[in-house]
Amino acid sequence: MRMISLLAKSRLRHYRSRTALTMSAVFLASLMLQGIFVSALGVLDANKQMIQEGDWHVRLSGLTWEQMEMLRGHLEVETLTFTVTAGEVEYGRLNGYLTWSENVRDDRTDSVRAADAPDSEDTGVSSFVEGRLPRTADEISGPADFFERLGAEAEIGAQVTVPFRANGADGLGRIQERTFTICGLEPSIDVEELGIAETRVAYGAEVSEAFVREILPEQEILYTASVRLCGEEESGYEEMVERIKALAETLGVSKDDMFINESYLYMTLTPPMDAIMVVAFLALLVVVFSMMIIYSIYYVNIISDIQEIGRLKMLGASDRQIRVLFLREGSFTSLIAVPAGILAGTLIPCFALPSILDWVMQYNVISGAELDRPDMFSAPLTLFAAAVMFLAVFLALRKPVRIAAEVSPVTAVRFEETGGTKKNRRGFSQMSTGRLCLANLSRSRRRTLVTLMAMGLSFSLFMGMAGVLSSITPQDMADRKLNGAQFRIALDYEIVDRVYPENSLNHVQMQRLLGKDTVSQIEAMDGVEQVRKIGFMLARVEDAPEGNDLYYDGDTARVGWFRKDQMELFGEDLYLGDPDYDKMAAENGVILMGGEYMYQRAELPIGSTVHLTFYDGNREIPFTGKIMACADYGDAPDGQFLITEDTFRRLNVETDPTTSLFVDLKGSKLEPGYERRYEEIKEKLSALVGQQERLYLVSLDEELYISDMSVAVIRYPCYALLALIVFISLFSMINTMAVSITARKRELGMLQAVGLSQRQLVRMLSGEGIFYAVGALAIAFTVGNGLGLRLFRWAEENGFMSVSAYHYPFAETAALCAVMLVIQLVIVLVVKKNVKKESLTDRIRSGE
Amino acid sequence: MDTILETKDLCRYYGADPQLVKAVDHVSIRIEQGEFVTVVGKSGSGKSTLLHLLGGLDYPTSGEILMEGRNIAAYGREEMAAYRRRKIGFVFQAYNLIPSLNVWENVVLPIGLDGRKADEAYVEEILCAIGMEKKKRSLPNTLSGGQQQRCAIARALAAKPAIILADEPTGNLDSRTGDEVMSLLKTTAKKYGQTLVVITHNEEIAQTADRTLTIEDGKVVV
Ligand SMILES: Nc1ncnc2c1ncn2[C@@H]1O[C@H](COP(=O)(O)OP(=O)(O)O)[C@@H](O)[C@H]1O
Ligand SMILES: [Mg+2]
Repeated sequence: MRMISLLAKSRLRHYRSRTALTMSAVFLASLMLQGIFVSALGVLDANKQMIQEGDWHVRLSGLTWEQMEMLRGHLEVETLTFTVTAGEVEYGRLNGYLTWSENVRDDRTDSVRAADAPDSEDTGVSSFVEGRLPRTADEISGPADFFERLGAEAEIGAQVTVPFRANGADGLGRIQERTFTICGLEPSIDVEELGIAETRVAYGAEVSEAFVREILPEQEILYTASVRLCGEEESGYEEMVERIKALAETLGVSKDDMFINESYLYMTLTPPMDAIMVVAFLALLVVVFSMMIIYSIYYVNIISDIQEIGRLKMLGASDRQIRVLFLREGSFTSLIAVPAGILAGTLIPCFALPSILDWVMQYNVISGAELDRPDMFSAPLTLFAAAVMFLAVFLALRKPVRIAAEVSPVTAVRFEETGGTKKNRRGFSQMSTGRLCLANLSRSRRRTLVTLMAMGLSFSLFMGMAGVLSSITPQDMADRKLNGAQFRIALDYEIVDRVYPENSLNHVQMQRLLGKDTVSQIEAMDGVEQVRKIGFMLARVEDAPEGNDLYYDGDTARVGWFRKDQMELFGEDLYLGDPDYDKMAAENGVILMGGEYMYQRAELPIGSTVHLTFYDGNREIPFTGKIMACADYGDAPDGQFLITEDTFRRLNVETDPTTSLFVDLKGSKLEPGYERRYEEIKEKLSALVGQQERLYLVSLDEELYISDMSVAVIRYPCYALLALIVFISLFSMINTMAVSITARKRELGMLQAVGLSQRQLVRMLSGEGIFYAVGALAIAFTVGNGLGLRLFRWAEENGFMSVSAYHYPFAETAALCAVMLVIQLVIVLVVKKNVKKESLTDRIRSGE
Repeated sequence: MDTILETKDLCRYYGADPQLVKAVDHVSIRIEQGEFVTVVGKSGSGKSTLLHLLGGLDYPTSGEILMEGRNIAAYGREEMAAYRRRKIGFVFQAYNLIPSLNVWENVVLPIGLDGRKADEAYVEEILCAIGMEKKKRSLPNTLSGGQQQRCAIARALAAKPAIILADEPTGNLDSRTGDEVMSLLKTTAKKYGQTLVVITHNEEIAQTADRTLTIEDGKVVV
């Protein structure tokens, strides 16, 4: 057997380029597999960090000082942090809060704490660029831009005046002002870079206990405590939830004031099935495809070695020795390629992922949270990946090795690759280069087929996935938010605001901000095609179920309406009933929205009567309707209850129910001057919106920018993976062609002797490449595109990335064709060089 | 008789000074139209090299090769390929058939490569002449050595070349089959008026030739 190992090694060295090719394929496959595992772990960990907003188990709000004291001494508590939201900043459209937070207790050992939050050497409440938390009543700390937007200088020691409403037991109080000294600065949130409106950013500024006690009487200070219970590691999800509920009960905290950090508990205590499925699917994809490609490479190599194998057998090698020879070659190859691939697959994501995540986070996280370096390495998983790759190589080798073992020694003297049983060939009566090329391809049909299938299937996978991926478009996502318009002007309101009722929707609607005047003003703008409205009314649901969480404040619901021509929008969303517009209009019909969830909780079966009292500004309009159907939310107009437009008209509402205006521009994006017009209109609309504190503008370009990000996060990793699979499959073709050139050395010389010119030779050899390229592309564009359409349907049904319209992947098609074209050119060049390198007489003599 | 092929001071050297091999050294010969010439000499004396030069498979280090008065040594690669497929028919020791093509396709290959249409009646005739008319569709690996070599001869004849160059065509065959092949080569060449140059170790064959060239260390000895 030592002899066999020696032979295997010398063969690997002798067929250097072939060995390199096989190794690269195994290397890349291992890289992909490990890359998937490592990236998945990293993303999961980052997600955990993002979702958890801390590793607390439960947040109890509305706690009194006594309850806080109980928590402080409670045996089950491991960590305890509290926040008091002392006031809400009232300054134009600035969204801000004044909070007092403190870490009360942390029983974890230092090492655990350090592992969980390696960077937070400070309080763990805030991360400072400079300074510290406030200590006296007139100190404040917070993000620098928060102070800047309040008109102050963002510097330690600078003065800032903050108008705010104290957050008392009965909701927000009167507006008051207070001047603070800045004592700590947190990282700014770069609104410019986010590309979103400033109004969407919420700031939190820290104040001191002393200040809180000044503005709120003792009994009105309500604490929100974040609690971590001991023994997380030993408990299951269900058990933890039970313990949390028990704790809340002993404290006397009501259900409404208890917020269990389910996403964190779920993440940490249950295996993330969805993610595991996705990762398993991707890993399987990679393994199956790399196995297929490695198989094709080995298969082709062994077939071209048949004469040599025959010679070995003639010399007395047994079947078993031949099998061992090739298996040993395979294991030498993988012993180098798999660990190298695993290493690269660990290192690349380790370096690339954090910066990619950072880039993604910029656009997703408004609070400016920073990610710790995600934990991405897992030794068992790495070993698993390596084992899987070794197994994959072994499985891919099985069949080719069996073929090798069964080679008969006669082939040494009389060799005809495969198809040895074939005696005749129909053939052509005239010959040409093209036919010569075809004859060569058909000589080893299995070799050709294996190569073509390996390429065709990988290409199909690429095109198939591209079908879905290209259908995820920022344009579609933005269109959905903007209803296909270019701009949306929306009302800024609260559904219900008890202290400042003028913020409540029904009061905002009284101002008719989006009424006829505004609409005609916009319609008069040059380049505006039309303005569309949507809106809804608020209504009190009489006799709503006690303690329900279906309506705002337990009884206020959104009521919308639809036109007759919008009936079809319900489509498949209908859950129960078969509404008829005219019947509904005649009998005050109501469609209950929210599907099964709503239907089971609202206590409003089909045919029952519902009493709604519409809030029309200060007026109230009673209404009695009949539930005629129940539907899921979908394309239908907004509202928890929907009535017909005719019914709505009869209500004679005085206020303007519009909540949003959608502005469509004339002409298409491609027209010259469109962009300028868009900018002009955007400016005018901004000016219009700027006059009104209660309006805000959403524009297509900003929405597109945001959607772009979320699409990129899905799309680019997928394409990277697919590109690698396609790339490896090219190895299969290159290998086959290389083999077909080297194995036929003398034959090619002979062809040249009978008059094949060099140009013809190159044309013949690259003809084989073109055959594979065209064949694989043909498979990709039939099977692959079919698969793409299927996958798209599936994605559409399952609401994956809210795809809705199939977009043919033109760019991907072009890219694939372009890659193949480049590969062809490279092949021609390499073949040319190869043909020139060796003289004709050498080729002819090689047979003697 | 017309001179069809002539060499003037033809040299083909391999390697550089200390190990310089003069495989063909100042060879000046003439071959007449329709002649049957055999080339004899020890192994390594340069016979194959000379034949490769005559057939345009290789370029000389110096000297001229005149085919019907034109110096082919000055041809470019493409021209040389065309020269081979139009003027020369090769028969080698190893049969050198293309394994993926059947007998018929192997025979018409040089014509097809020249972008011409094979004269199918003529090809049939040749196949009859060599006794392979029943094996047209067979793949080379199913043929015996003699059959393969006959097929190679048919291929050499098919393009109606001016000269047939054969390098030890019977070297792999037993003596009876070798005789058969050789006589076939001679009769067909005569029949179609082709010039025949054959390298051989076989004394009998050499004796049947119109003329014999003896080569020693790259030189023609008289
Ligand atoms: N490619 C080559 N490189 C170096 N020497 C060569 C090469 N081809 C042939 N020779 C040498 O040229 C001489 C003549 O060879 P060859 O023509 O094959 O002889 P023959 O056919 O008479 O046996 C030999 O000494 C051989 O070693
Ligand atoms: Mg020789």
